[in-house]
Amino acid sequence: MKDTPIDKRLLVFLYILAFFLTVEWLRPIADLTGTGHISHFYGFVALSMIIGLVRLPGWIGVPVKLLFIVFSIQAVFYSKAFMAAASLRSMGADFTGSLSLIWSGDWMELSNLFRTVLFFILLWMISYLLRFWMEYRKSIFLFFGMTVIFLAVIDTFTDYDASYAVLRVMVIGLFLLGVLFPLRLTGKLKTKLPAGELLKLILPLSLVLLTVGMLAVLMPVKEPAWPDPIPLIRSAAGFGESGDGTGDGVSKVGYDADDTQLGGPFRQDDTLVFEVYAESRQYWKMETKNTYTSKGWVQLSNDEFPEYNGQFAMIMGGQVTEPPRQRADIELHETLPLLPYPYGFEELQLSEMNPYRQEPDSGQLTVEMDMQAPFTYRAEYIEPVYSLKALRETKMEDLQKFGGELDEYLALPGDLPKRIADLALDLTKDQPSVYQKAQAIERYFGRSGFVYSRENVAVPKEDDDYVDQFLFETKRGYCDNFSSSMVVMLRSAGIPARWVKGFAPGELRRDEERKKYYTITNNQAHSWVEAYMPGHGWMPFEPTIGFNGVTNINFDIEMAEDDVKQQEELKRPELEKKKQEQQAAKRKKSNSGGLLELLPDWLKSGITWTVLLLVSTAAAIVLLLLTRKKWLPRLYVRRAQGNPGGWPEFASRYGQLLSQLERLGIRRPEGMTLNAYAVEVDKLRGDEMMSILTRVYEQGLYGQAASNADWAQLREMWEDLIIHTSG
Amino acid sequence: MPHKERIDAVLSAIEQTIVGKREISELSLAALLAGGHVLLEDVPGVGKTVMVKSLAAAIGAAFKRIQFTPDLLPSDVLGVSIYNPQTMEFEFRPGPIVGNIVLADEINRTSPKTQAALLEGMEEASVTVDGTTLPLPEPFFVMATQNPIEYEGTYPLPEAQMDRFLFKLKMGYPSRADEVEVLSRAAMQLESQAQTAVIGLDELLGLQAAASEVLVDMTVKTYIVDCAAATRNHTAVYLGVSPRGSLGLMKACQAYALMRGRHYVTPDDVQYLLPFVFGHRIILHPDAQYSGSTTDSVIEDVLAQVRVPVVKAKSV
Repeated sequence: MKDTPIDKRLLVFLYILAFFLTVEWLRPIADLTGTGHISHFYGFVALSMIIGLVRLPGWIGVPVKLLFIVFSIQAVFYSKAFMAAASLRSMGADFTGSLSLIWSGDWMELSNLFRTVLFFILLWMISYLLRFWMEYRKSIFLFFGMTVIFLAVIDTFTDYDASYAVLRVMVIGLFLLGVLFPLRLTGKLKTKLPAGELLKLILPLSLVLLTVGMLAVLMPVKEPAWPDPIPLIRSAAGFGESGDGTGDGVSKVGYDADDTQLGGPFRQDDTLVFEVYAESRQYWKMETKNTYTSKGWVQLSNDEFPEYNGQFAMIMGGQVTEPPRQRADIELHETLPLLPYPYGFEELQLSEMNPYRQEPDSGQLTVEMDMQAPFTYRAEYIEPVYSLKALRETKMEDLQKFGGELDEYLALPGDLPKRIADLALDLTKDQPSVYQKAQAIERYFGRSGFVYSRENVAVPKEDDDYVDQFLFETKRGYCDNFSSSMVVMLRSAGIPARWVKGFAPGELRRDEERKKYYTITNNQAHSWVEAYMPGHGWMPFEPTIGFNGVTNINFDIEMAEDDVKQQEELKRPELEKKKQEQQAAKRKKSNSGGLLELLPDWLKSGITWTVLLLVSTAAAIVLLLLTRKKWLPRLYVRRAQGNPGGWPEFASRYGQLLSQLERLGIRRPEGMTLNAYAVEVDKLRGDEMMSILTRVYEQGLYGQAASNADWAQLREMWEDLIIHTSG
Repeated sequence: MPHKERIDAVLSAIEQTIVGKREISELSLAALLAGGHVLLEDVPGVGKTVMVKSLAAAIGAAFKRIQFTPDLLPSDVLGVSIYNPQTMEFEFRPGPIVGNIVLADEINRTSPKTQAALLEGMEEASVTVDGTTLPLPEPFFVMATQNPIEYEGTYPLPEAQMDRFLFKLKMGYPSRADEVEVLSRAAMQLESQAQTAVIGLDELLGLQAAASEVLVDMTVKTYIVDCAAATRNHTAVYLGVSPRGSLGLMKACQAYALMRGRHYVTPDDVQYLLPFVFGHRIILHPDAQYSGSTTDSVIEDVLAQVRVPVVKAKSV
């Protein structure tokens, strides 16, 4: 079964298809995890496949692949000092360090470099698997099926849009299946399919696939008959919970200005609060609170703090560069006491003159007059980007410079149990920088047996401390528990911190023009943490398990200062490109989605006509093909007119005659000789013309001697046969 | 075509003595022209001997007959050296194998040792006795007969030796009308008439040379090889046709085309002769045999499967 090799040219083709199938895995991964330089991975897959294809022996192939990995890592992580001794050494050190991390089980701590290496190795294995599937098993179904499932899951549960990816995968996958199946069969029968036969299989197959694909895209899509099953799946998987907990003390989830008494279970509420058109996921901040009361949070105003006018947005600080401003168009569906805004907020734009104010301290954003829903506004912001290198240079001593300025963010209740501080100091003692200390606390929750739940969350009793109860007793809670605990621990460790309220990024949707927007419901009401990084300002942290922060950190560690700039410069054209793409998408909005978006404008203007033209051309071709037994012979005869010809003409005419007879339904089995066939034809016709022609043809073909036959007479016979024979 | 006329003359000479066995006569002559030997598998009394005798007579060749019995020794076939008291020397007395047309009757009744002596002679076209090698006369044509192997008291020929025969034929019983004709002729004692040679041995050798010059186009060669390969790849087949088999088929086709008056071989020739050439060279899997496959069915499959070349082959 495995010892019938596939035709080389075909194999190249199959590998190309398999490559595109693999790319469909890499694309969403790059999209969702923000993995940059994805072309290196594409390149690696291609390289592995080529090495497999040309059958390079292992002692060449393996070093070549390893070299590729080293080169790409050098190019990505050490672009300035590419392949320099120092960067190679640093790479080796990172590698050994990560290996020891694996040994100790701290997988979350693995460096990006090492993760990249692991990913390369994964791709390596996948390319081997593909080779095995295609060349030996001759069955790609497993991979194909997994790709489809992967895309379905990714499309359903993340904001990756796989509608075209699924189409591409279907076409490629079905094609691969269709080509591999006959190969597998012939492999089992230990015969080999002639290349021509395979082509005969492939051509109609691709035609059918293309047609089906086109139709699938052009067809109208029916609205789903079932309600969206995803909330159900999510709740079954434990991401959420059913809304039947109506017992005492169950509050409804949502924004509530009063946080003096935290704790207790929450009921789900998916009322839409607001919708945002924005480029990327953002945390929607509403206010911060500075004072922890052992039971909850309050904002105590501090008049000593200077009043800012307008440019308060710079409070975030820490931008490495000044990327162009971004916009978020927000539409409130529920009236909120405060306006949500993204990090890096610069300016509020309203439809009508209406002065707005942002509290410098708590960050509360309000407009003076009417804030009743529905209410729309635009927030302009510059997404803050933090340099990891700079963050790791933040020193605790730098915090001293602020004197008493930050005291209110270090204040803790006097009766706070000591074990909180002990834990916080224990967690942070080995970390050199402020940022790393904060990170250590942020990560603590993820690996210490804490459970995210909105049910059965305790309310602290009179003598209990809210944070203490959560950290050491219940270990079960939702965002408020995690964020409050982190703030208290940060403060215990001497890092200024405050509690932030607002909304999580929400769910990605696409409107009719396939523009991204996010819907934020009451369920997305959230709280998180801001810690003060000297030199950077307030930086958000996300301790709640199950949530991913959106903080942009530039992993520029171990790079020269120049590199950072260089990278930023590289990033800028990307941003511009994205903008251009968006504009292009906007221009195309005149027609509804689907395939039409892919078509050029001139085509779209007359799309109905184009479709009609295509369909009628196709129909005409089909009709001509179906009726060719009627008109083709006449065409042949006309062509042959007045040219009695010699052997070559006769041979080609004889071939035409054979195909015509076949079309008329007089089949010649593979193993039937021409002579026997001629006898059969003559029997049908009642004369001997076919035998005469066949004898001449056989003499020419097998006897290599085109005898001095009477070609003119033969042509007449041929004409008679090809025109007047009917099955 | 002079070749064809001569061949037709031989065939009609044979037909004068034997009734209704045109096909067997033609095939035997084809084997003779192709330089091969024939194994006839049939029950006694259907006219094998008569046919071979009349063939020998028609070409004016020396006819020898060896009746194989279980106690026959190799020296009975090859010949023996006898001391001649007059010349005071050992003198070689050639055995019955030294002839042009040899009928080896009931070959499977003798011991393998004796069978081997004959078969070696057939292959080498010479015999070796007491260290002297004696070339056999040309043309040398053996027609061996054997009882169907399921009969008692037989030593079936090993596969390797079956391969030495170009054709394996079955004579079969004559048709009703033919048998009546046989009886009528016997009554008139026509059979006893002495036959005269219609062509000489030289002419026969000339025909053999002409047969070997018949054109086999590349397409037809490929077709023959494809057929042989198909027997090797057939699921029911344990041992397929050897390249000697393909070679034999080609030679047989050349001779047959010559008999048909053609200077080239057609796939029809191949299809016609293939069962006779391949039939005894195919060994089936035992389990395939139990499930009803026969060599005939395998050959049918092969002929149906392998594409007949109907256009010029591009290359091989």
